[in-house]
Amino acid sequence: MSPTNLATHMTAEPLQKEIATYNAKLPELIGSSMGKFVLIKGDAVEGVFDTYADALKIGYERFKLEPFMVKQVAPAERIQFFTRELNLLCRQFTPT
Amino acid sequence: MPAIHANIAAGGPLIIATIAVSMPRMQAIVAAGGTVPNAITGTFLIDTGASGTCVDDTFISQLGLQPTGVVPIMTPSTGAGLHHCNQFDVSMFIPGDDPSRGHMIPALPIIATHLKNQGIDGLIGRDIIDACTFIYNGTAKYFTLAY
Repeated sequence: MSPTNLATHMTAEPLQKEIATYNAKLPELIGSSMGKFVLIKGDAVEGVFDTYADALKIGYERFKLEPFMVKQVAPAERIQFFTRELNLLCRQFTPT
Repeated sequence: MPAIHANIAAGGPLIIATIAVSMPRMQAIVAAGGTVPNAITGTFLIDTGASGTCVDDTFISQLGLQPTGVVPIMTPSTGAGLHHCNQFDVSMFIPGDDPSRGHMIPALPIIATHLKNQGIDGLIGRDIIDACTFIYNGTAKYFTLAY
């Protein structure tokens, strides 16, 4: 499977553009930043950071309260497993 | 090492923890002249069967959060398929036996789901447990979470 196809099924609002950017940039991110945290705003990769907290900090400093995405760079999606049943409507949750 | 010792409840190893906006988001709200939402305290189940920490979605709405990530999840009902959940950034405080020496996590990615109907407000997943020592003494009916 090509790295660019790994996350193409991720279509949750409101980060669609950021997810598409992550997918497009994934091949080069894997080569340079495996395991690090990438900060994405719209169609731009704004930076790569060693920790989640660092990426989040810069995201809020640059974009204030506007949407942005932080994601750990990995060749395959890191699935979160839950043995307890969760209500899957969570994927469609949009805060008001 | 700060720790919390408690009896195992009928619902399992339960702790009281406080969720608030993440520290970076708090600073952005203050810089924008906004009002920082009040932190929310709830009952959390320490769940070694959960990869990540999650909270009831009422917490998300009360804190006025917007997603900063998306994560694929698998649960018993997803079968072989994946579902994708919005991920939100929060801070979490887990008090110790000495309330002044708790465990503060300034930035933590969590997902939101409906948990109140299960009698809890959230799950403490292995993203947190992996940085702790967790002792579950079933015969003595108590547990320890040290961090």
